[in-house]
Amino acid sequence: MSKKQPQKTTLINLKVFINSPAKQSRNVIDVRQMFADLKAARFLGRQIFIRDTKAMFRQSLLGFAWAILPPFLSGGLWIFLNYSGAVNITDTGIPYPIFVILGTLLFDTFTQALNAPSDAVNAGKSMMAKLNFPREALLLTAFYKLLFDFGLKLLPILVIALGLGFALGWTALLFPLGALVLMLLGYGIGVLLIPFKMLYGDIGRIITLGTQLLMYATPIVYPMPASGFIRDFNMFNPLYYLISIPRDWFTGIPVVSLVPLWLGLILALIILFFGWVLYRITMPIIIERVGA
Amino acid sequence: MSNTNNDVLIACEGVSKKFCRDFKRSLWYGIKDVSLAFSNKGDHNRVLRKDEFWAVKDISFELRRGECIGLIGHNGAGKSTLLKILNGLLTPDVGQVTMRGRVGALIELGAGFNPILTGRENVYNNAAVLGFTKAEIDAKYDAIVAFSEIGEFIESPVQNYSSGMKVRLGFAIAAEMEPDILLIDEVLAVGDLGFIIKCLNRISELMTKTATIFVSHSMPMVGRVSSQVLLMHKGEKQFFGSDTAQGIKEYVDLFASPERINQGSGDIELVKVALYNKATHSFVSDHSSLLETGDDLKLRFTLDIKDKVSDFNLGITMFDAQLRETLSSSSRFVGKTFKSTGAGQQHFEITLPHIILASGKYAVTLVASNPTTDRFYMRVTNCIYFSMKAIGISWGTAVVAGEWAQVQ
Repeated sequence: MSKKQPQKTTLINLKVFINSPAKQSRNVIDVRQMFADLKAARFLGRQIFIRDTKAMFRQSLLGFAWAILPPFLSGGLWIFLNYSGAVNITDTGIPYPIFVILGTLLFDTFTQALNAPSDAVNAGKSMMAKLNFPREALLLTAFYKLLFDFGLKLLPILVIALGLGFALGWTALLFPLGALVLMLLGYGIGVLLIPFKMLYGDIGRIITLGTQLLMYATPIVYPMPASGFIRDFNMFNPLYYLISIPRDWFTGIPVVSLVPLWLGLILALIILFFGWVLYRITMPIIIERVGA
Repeated sequence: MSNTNNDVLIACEGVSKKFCRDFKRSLWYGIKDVSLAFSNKGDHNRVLRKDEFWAVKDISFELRRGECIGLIGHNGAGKSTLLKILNGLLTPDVGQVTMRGRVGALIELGAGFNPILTGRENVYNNAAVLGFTKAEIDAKYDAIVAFSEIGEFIESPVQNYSSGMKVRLGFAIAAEMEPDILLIDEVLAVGDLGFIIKCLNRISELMTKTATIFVSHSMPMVGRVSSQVLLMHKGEKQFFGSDTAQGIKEYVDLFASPERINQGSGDIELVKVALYNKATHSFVSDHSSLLETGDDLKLRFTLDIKDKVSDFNLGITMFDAQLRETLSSSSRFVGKTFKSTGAGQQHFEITLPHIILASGKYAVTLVASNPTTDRFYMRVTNCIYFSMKAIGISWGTAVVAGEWAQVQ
């Protein structure tokens, strides 16, 4: 039953792996090694993503609807509140449904990006405790999932916009790019938070609470006020820019300055890189304590 | 190419690893360790902080291609921790591990399985976790399914599989790796006998080309596959060498001998049992008898027999340290049934000539049964122990000198 296997390679060709106390293992934070590991993780990351997605849809009746519904429901709620007069929102310059659905969709993307990395790592925890595979795969899985979910939401938003008789300009094509920067910022912070979230459950709760507060503190369901505390606060809130710029692109409102977007991108990449380094350093230490 | 068999594939040099008993404190140490990893100051690696203990202490060995270390020790001895260090999952606090070549771990079979997906889909998931590329899986898919003997169920969701089937599929995938180093951790506990044999054969096949670490509590399996035994006790090396029988004996000696168990109707009771001890030329009841190959085993015992018992059969069974039944005798075999001479204590002796058991410690079970119904009047498990010293080292159950000659 055994098939003949080719003669094994000689010692020189074998990959050497040295496991020694943390401080000596330099290659954990060697940039070249990091990208080599990332490359090696691509297939596994995609495979886990496909596995999770398939399983999710096979075990649900509504399937794709679950990826789409939440932001539209919360958007719909605000539309209802506004038109029933329960809340009174000043003129946003564009039809309110479009304004609020875009806002909630973008913010939802951000919070998802914040949580996706630690969710993926938590799900893969027992696997990590027992098997050696490129740890970056779990981060990639989270990122694929974010892209996929965002893509899913893009479709109905187009349908709604066209259904409301909204004319889309060419800048609407830039919308996904703006959203990507927002996603990267959330994702970067999410990766940075993984070790803390895994060690202490409190962090996750603080984040849930914090994002809820942030949602109301940021002009998402209402336009930027002309003056006051909210305005002062949001002048320094990257989320405000990263949400309003893509939203303006989509609705064809001229964007005053792209500087905040570029700054946001740079910030996101820096945070992401440090999060990645921290992930590589801390993961073995954490897995041995909370794994399995 | 013959010299490739001498490659040192695993070099483990003075490896130690400590854990912390208190979970919260362990988290705090974890955070400290994280920050220390960034700085150059301070080093807690060699000293134990409060609540810490050595899970693995100063383990060193080298392993070449074609060799296999049986890693044994009781639960919590540090076997799995050592395996995780070898696999790169844990970083040692002291010492260094050098691994050459592709590492195949038969540790968590079926890792990455999603119960909702079909067997086919999960082959891809699990194989990806184990480090296969897409092309490799495509090429090996048929072999995997064939080896697993899952048949048409491969298209059903894995949640419909029995636990044995999951292990089959998991093993089939892992066995298709072509590793240089093979780590096996107690993976064959489930699965039917036929599949275990198939797996052992596959492992033996792989082992000729790999350096293998085999962790198991099944001493017959360890004895069968290992060229060396590393016995760990409380994280430390208790025994290391190629005398597997000795290593396994020391492992067994770590456990206290089980207590005597009385079963049966109680119409016959064991009062006293003693074995002939060659050293003192007397019968002793303190388990100290030592026999050598070819010696006669003589056992004397006293029974308290109740009124209603008129006749009975006597039997004796020996169990080795792995609870294998290695030797049995019964008065029934020779057509002898004992008649009771009336209620009260009666004495008996049995001689088993020319004992050829392998070295080790044996437990004796004495049985008295009703000759017509075969019901037990008495069954005393572990009533006495004796030790055996065979003429040679062997993992067989029996060891004999044999008459060796060269013939034309």
